[in-house]
Amino acid sequence: MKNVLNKKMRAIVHSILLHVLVVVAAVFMLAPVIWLLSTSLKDRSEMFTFPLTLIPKHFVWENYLKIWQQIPFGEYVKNSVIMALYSTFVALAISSLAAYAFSRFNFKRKTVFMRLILFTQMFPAVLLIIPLFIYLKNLGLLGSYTGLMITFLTFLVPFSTWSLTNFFEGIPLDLDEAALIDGCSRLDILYRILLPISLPGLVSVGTYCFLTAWNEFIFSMVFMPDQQGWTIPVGLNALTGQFALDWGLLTAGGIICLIPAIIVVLFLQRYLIAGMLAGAVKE
Amino acid sequence: MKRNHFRVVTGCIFALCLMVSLTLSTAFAAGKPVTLQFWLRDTRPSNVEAMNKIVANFEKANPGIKIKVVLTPWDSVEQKTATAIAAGTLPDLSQLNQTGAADYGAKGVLLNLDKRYKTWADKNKVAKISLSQAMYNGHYYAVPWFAGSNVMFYNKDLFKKAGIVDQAGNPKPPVTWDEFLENAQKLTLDTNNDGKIDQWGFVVRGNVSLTIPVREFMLAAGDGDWVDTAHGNKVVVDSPKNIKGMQFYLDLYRKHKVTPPDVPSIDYVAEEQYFLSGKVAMMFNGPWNLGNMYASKINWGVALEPKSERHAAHIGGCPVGIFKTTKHPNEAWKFATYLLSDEAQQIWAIKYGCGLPATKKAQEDAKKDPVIKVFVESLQYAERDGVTPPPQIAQWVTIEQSVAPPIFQKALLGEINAKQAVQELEAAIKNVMKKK
Repeated sequence: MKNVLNKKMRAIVHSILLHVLVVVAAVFMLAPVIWLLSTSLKDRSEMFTFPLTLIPKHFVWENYLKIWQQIPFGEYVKNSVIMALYSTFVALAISSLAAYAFSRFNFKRKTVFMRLILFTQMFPAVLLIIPLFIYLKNLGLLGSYTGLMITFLTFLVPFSTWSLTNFFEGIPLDLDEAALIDGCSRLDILYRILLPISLPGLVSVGTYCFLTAWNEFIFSMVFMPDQQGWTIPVGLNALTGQFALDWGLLTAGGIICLIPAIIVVLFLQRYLIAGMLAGAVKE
Repeated sequence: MKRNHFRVVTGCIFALCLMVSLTLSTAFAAGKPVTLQFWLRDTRPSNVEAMNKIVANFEKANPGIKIKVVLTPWDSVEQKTATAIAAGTLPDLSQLNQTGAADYGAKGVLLNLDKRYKTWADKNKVAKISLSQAMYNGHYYAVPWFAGSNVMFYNKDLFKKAGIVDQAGNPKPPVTWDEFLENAQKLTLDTNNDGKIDQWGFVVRGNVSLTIPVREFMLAAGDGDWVDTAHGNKVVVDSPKNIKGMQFYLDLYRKHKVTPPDVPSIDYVAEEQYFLSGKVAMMFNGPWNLGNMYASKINWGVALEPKSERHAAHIGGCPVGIFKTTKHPNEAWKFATYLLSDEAQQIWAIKYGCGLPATKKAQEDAKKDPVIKVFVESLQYAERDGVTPPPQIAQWVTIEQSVAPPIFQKALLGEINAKQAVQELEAAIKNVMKKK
């Protein structure tokens, strides 16, 4: 009897602790977002009153209207969506092929190649800006979606290749062999077996690509000279002056910028968790 | 069969990629030959709107020239310019920062405009102090555009409450340092009697571009010059008057405690927040914040910065530079000087308040506004009293951003006194000036 009670008590304490932890983590992550939302709904004078208010005394929606009127925000949203989808698509196409090669074939210097890919990730983005800029200029791609997408590939492809290689290696080779016997070509194996099976992996890597491209700032800033090619982060950055900035518009823009990212993650949540676990254990 | 299927699929994907890339890249291809590219650093919506109006007027008057305004926000423009210099993609013209004529002049990427200045009829219409910001090493490398100056913002309600009023009962901002300190002490209060000070007389930055507030006090004390550009860029920081200014700045925080306790970490944004929260009675600030001020509920006024030997102000403003690589120097010059026309000054500086006018006529026009009047006066007094803008030296940005701040921070924290701080600054600037 005592034992049972003890067990129960333990379970309760466990669950309380767990919940407290989860709540703390959630607050930690949500606080900035809530603060952003609250600031975007305040009028200018309330933003700076002490003590700071979490729930605005007067809800002011005009920031969400003004941002569409005062700057070409619709254009920025369109560019961000195009860039994020475009680079996700191309990055997945390239890195799934590379990952297939790494996981299924043995070739000379394979580990060297793998490490080289990882090695490229050690350089900060700023270091690449001038060389990439010159490349794009000579290719005539400066200011184009494709040009910017190519620069995104410099950091999207290495990560995606590594993660997808891990997913593919989790899929038993026996499947390939069976398919080969049944008359599949090497590439058929990729399209008919590996990709469908590792769909959760593809989705989680794709989400990573989407969010990274969505949030990217410095490359978009430098490689998109025209305002009509700007993405949301670059467009919002232009709201700041040398000494002054408009907090209302900036925070409203930040909230709008969050929405697509949240939608993507919510819809793909199921796959994301599966994807994270799928790569965890290797046979 | 299956192989074919795969080939068709990959073929389609590649064709699609190619098509998308081709159409997208042609859609954003570079403009036509008669188009001038102009890089604008002030990118807030009101700036952009004002610029679009100016460009429309210019294009109407000059049908052969088109201006393409490219927005290059302040905090990434240096990065962008460095990239453009390396890749040879500089625009025809660009808004520069206050020492940009020196910065880019020294790099050799700006067009020398001496010849054009000689025959430029409107040169005398421009305020001298703005002209000085277009010159580096005795040569003109830029065209003045607009000016900037700091004045003192004060909270009228707090002044009234503290009884600092004239005979008519109107709040009376201080004129001299003594009055300023006296008022600041009166305005530093514990308003809710909980034993803690919760209202301060003055707020000043201790972080980010620290040179500006410190120089303002040094200028008021009668000096403020750090580098003598007229005499071979001699470093002249270590002077009794500069030490006096430095001492006054430090005392406000350390000795008299009339500023908020977190001065060493207060930056532009925090400074403005303190004032807008109504907890601080006075601050020095520029015209760029007027939009926020008008939008606030604080009952504020502006006055000249308090004087010791003279009224001081931080003189800023931006010139326009024409890059050497331009294929259309004549058209670029035309546009740069058009920005100084009455029409353009009216739109940029007076109607939209993006800066202070740089021409004498526009300055007089701007005085009709009681608030702008104070700014323009501070600019004109600066010219009269020999208050200098930051020196046109290529190293200024380095000095302002990385050389001076740590020294002043040490002084604010009490690790060194005013005299030592000024001496350290002298040594550090000498060191920077030696490097090319």
